[in-house]
Amino acid sequence: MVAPSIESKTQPSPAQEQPRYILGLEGSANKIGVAVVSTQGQILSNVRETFVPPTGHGFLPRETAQHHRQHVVPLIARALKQADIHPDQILCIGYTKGPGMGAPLRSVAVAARTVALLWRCPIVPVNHCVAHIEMGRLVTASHNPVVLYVSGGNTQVIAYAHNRYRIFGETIDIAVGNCLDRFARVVGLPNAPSPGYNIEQAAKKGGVQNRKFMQLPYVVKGMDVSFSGLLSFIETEAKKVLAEQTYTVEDLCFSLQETVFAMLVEVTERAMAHCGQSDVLCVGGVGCNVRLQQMLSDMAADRGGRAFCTDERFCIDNGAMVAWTAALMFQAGAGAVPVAQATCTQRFRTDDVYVNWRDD
Amino acid sequence: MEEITVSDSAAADTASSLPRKRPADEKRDQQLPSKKPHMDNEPRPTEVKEREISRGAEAVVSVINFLGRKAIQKQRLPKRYRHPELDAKLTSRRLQQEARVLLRLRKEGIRVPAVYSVNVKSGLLIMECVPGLTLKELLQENQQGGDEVMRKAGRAVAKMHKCDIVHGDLTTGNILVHDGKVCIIDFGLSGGNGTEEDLAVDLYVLERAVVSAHSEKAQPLNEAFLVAYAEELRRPAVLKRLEEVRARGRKRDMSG
Ligand SMILES: Nc1ncnc2c1ncn2[C@@H]1O[C@H](COP(=O)(O)OP(=O)(O)OP(=O)(O)O)[C@@H](O)[C@H]1O
Ligand SMILES: [Mg+2]
Repeated sequence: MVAPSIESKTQPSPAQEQPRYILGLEGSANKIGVAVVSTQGQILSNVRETFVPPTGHGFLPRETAQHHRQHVVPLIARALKQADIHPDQILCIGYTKGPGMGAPLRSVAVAARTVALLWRCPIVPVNHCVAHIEMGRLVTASHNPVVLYVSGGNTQVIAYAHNRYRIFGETIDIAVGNCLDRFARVVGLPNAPSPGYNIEQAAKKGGVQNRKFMQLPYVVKGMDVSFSGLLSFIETEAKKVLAEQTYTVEDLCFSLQETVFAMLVEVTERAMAHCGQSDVLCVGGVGCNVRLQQMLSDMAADRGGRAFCTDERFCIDNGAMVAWTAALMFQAGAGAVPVAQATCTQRFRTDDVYVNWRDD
Repeated sequence: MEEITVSDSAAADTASSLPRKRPADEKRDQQLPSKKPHMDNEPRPTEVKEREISRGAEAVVSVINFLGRKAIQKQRLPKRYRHPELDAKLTSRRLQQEARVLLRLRKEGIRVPAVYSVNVKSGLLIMECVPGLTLKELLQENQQGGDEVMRKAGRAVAKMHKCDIVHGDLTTGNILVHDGKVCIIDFGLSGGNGTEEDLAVDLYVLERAVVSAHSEKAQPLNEAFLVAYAEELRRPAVLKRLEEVRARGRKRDMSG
């Protein structure tokens, strides 16, 4: 890696104040995000670049890692510039330790270690899932909700208890985002800006009242869901019904959304009933789907609670979530590790993290 | 299945007059004017108010007076968030499945609530009110004796599995315990065809429910459950399968 061409280290910092900004680096999947947040949770910058595979392709780990390596230095420079801060004002560096794809994770961890050494800052490894939750709590000011975490790689229903984010339900096979992405490929929807976004637009194109609903396998096991049976069903069925013209691509997008989101809302409600909670927070990339948000709101309202959702800036992978979680961890007196231990891992469960920054 | 009303005498043999433990039960009792059984042609006591005791993901569960006897009414209401076609299908399928499995398990001599009445059109299931606490409440409350209850639960679940019935939502909230006896409830998500995988997933769901709600003492509780379960079931392949299901769970947290 080339040394960052950010303002030179010799330049004096504007004021001799205590460092109070955290730089966060996220790159566990196809996005690389860099952000600066303050110790108080103020987001000064949050910039991102996305690797979009060509239509018809799924994850391409090697190309994604290369994309991240290419963008990380300019993104760090942009984040500092937008935040209008100098490296001297940085308290610590947060980066995503996992879970995620190996190659992209490693390329961002290398960048994080480099800037930590360069600027002599402590480095804090962050769990990606916990970072989504903490970002959601910060942005929506929801206190102790049940969390539905839905993305390309993860599908979990989580509730906080005794210093851990405990997983009450999850997918027993593939993640919901993965199911949507693979369906999009089957019907030839493009990957840009994201397959899920294109499904959402197709589902409501010309008004949902014009849609024909197709019955699809609905598999809920208590608080767990399963999507692989549904995906293989719709993969075979799609070709047939599209050829016969009994359903349109838009009908299939609509039916798929209605079915998989209903499954997610049902297991979320079951977890809420189980925990005696009436608020829900939705995080992760699939969480910016407006139809899912609406269904969660309807469900929560009927339970006398509220659904807290965020927009694409915060629910899609971003640097701010990592920076903010690192801030919480660092200020709680733990979190920083020696640079040699600032590694990454593909597997890192949400409930492995001891949440010492919450005392409720 | 359109509507079944089980005869009053069948219901009577299950009505229990054993002492009740949970405070909620006492409140339910106070609202009942008399314990004298009512005959079919006798007017229903009108002064009894229905009392909601739980609002789950699927149904509103209330204590009601059914033919002069305390009963549980489980009403599956339409879900506003769900596409109406999907919602109607799920609701009626689950109600029928729950009633079928309750009748079937009862015939096999396994302790489950007796079915009093089923009405698919209005989403209503009326059944025997089983006294006692849920296993969840019991584990949260008392410090000792948890292992013994878990052994009993293990045997009860094995008996259910021997009938090739998979529960589908086997959590500590869906197991009632009274006077040392275990009663499994909430069969709306049941199904499967008794494959090792199906049975193992049931066990895995319960294991995780114990870990997430009662983490400090989960290990010995789950152990006690599984030992008794294995003894009763006598199908070692299921426990081997459980190991695989667990390993899958640990591996799952990856992108892709
Ligand atoms: N037959 C019964 N006797 C006594 N109590 C019962 C009986 N059936 C249900 N209950 C009480 O009502 C609660 C909820 O019932 P049930 O589990 O059948 O529905 P649910 O929880 O709404 O469904 P879901 O688990 O899908 O959310 C139980 O935990 C139990 O406390
Ligand atoms: Mg239940």
